[in-house]
Amino acid sequence: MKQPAVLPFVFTTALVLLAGAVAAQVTLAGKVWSGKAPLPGASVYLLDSYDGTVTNAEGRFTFDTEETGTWTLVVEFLGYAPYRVEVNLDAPVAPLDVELKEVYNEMRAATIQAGSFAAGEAHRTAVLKPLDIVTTAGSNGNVVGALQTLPGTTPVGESGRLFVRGGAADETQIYVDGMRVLQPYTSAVPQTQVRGRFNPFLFSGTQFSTGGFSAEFGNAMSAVLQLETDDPPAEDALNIAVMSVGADVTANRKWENGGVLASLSYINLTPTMAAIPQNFDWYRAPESLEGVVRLGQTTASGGKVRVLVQGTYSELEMGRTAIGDARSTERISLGNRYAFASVAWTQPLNERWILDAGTSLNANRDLLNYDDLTVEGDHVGVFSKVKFTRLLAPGFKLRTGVVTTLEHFNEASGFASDAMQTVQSDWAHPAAFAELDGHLGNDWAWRAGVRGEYATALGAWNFAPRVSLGWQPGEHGSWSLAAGRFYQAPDRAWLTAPGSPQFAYADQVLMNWQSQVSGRVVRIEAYGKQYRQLLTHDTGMYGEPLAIAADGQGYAWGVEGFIRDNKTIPQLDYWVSYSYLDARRQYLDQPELAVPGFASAHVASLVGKYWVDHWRSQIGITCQVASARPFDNPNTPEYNDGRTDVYRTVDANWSFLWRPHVIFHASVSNVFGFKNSFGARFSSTPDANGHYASQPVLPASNRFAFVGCFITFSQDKSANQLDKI
Amino acid sequence: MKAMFSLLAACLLLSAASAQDLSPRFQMAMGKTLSKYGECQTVEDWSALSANFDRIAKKDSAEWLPKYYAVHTLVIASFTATDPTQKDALLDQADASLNALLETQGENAEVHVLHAMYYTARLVVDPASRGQKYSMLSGQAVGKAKALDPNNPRVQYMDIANGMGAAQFFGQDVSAFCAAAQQAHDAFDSYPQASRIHPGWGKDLLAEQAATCER
Repeated sequence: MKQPAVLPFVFTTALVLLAGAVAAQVTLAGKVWSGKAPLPGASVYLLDSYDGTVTNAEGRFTFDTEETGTWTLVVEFLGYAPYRVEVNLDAPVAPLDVELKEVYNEMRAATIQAGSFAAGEAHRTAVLKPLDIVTTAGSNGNVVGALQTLPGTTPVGESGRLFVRGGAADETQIYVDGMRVLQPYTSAVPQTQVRGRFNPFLFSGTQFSTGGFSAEFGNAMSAVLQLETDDPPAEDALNIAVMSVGADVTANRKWENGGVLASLSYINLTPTMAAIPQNFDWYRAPESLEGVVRLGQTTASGGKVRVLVQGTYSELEMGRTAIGDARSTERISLGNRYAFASVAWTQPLNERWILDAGTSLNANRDLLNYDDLTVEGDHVGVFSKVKFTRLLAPGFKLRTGVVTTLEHFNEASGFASDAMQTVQSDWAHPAAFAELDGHLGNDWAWRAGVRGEYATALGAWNFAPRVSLGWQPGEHGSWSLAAGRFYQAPDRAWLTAPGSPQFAYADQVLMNWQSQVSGRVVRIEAYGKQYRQLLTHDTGMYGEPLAIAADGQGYAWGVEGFIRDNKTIPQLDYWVSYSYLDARRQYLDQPELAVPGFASAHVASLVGKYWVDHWRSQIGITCQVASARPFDNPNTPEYNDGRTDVYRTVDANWSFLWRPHVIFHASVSNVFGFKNSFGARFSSTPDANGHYASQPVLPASNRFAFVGCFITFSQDKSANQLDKI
Repeated sequence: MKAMFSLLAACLLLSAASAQDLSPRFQMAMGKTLSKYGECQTVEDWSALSANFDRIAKKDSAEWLPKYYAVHTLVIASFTATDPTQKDALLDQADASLNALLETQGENAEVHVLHAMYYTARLVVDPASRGQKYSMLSGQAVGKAKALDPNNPRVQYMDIANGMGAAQFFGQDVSAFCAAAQQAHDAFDSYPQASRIHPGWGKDLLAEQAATCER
């Protein structure tokens, strides 16, 4: 009977072994909190071991380890300060209760939205995609055209420039890669529409600030538009575009860490103008030749260099009905030569310092013949910037820099029979700024900056403080507030006139609420602007300005709404914007405070883009309505009581991806042919009956149409110019 | 897409092969974590699994496999998610590990396949506006992988997936892609898996690709 005695022994041994195993394996369990809420997804582990886990939906964790002795238990989660505690694994460990403290997290932290519309993939707060600029119907490849569907802008058909929140066009400055563009628009005959100088396909990021912008940007009372050139081409390719308005050839060349794009385009509107009824006589339809080179390179030390060079040659000659004599025609020809080059270099100097340096060279020559009057204008400018960014702590940044603009302006004019008269001016406009960006936890963001400018032509300094505040209490809604002073030197044309010009300035206050939830953006913004020291002048007997002074003033306030939604209806992406604007100003030779001619009280836009999978097509539509703008009719006793028509347009476009490397694109502006007119031109002197003769100001044509075919040749056959449609 | 990635997860075959140069504890930790692939369903499951791989990646920072799976799980999490912002945020989270892999494993075809998958995941967030750029980048990543290891079945899978997607979009014949997928599927077992913790997925996905033409 020995056998039964063995059994207890075996049993006991098993128990001992089991006990040993239990002792060697310790279970760690607990719960992770932040604030009052459990924190799921936090990583919990023993430092330098393989043992660990992740908290579950209730913030609980449990894992076993066979380690012994004293170890460090780590609890960590993105956006929270890591928690560490020593645990002794030789004895059972009591359940742990861990609270993580939130730290600054760039992905989550509040941002300042006031006044700013960003487009691009890099911007977390972007409300537009890079392609939106080019796929908006009616924009016709014009950056400025697409931006005019955003709140805060007034469409001004007889100009085409950006008029923001009751400000004149020259109150908006345009920058490429941080470098100023001195002549951002094409040259045009007075009272006809201009376009943005640059091809929108060159850029992948756009930030349009309609107020409250950073102290880095100056000499702008209303708005700043920043265009960022695209990354270097991702592959070698040759793109050819054959269009109803001309042709374009673009070559891409890629190399290690960089690449270059070179394009040549020829535009001639003769066929378009023959096909579409025109309001002017065209002796020579607009014709231009343009070359562009864009280069991008990253350096071994983490720096980045971006270069853009553009040259344009254009000619046109047109006739329009003379004021007061329907049988005679004013004959106007305009030749333009334009060159622009910008170089922008960003270089991290070490862990804390980043250097941005660059320059832009701008040269523009206009040759205008207006019947027998000849005007030759040359404008040359050099802009340069050096900026240092210092990362102080997570969420804290100091930006400081020096900016200068040097300009030379020369204009010769005269009637055919007379000698040419020349006026010229040269001036320098140095400026310096410093700005601090900070956060208070993740819910609050603030920015405080100052900017000082000097203008040699005015012999005057200015000093502009600017502050903004952002509050993002939850995930879905954020508030921002911005206030500041924005100076501007008078346009070059006034500097050659007698008198004492001064810096004008606008004091701005903005308040913004924005909600951005997966695919839907809603924003409301209200602002007030007070203008002071606006330029005023008397008018001499030949219409020449005299006694330049800074006695003008004005104000603007408004409320704007913007909704963007690409979620509710599959494949449909649309935005709606509405702007209310109340603006008055007394400036130039106006006798009283009046609504400026570039301010519509109400502007509403609807932009829709619908992708039809089956047709491999995107169909776009843009509708815009703007209430009547005032102009002064000298034949009525009241000042400024003329009214333009209500502006209406419906634009449509269609892009068809026929083959992987072939795209067709067609667009029509003002499909219904609404007859928009933009006020009237009056003769400067009354006739014998005391009546001022007039002619309506009309667009070149009521409708515009475009068709084009875009072909890509590359080694990768699937490549196409989709990003061009 | 969900079904595809559960399949993909199931395909992580734990074969008997073993690599001598990897420490047994590392292999055990990896094996244990890899075994959870089959259990993952939600975005939270996948990102939790990614955090587990991250932990191993921190312990053995010289090893590429934990980083590979940490990225792979996040890419799957991104495919699984429905909210575009979250899809992008998950891929943002993968950036650091992916860049480290590309830096140290530039000659590794598996890493370039992963990079191609990452680009495809970026693309599906917003095909209308990202289609052109990311389909090209995905194609370029596959091209690199192909140059390094043309017989790798995962390289072949990704290559076929890109080509077939474009052909379907343009309404072109896809039978050549089905045939290629069938061929790659039949040859799958002849491509050795370096160890049971090395990437071994793809067989069922190739079978699914090959079956496209029958539907």
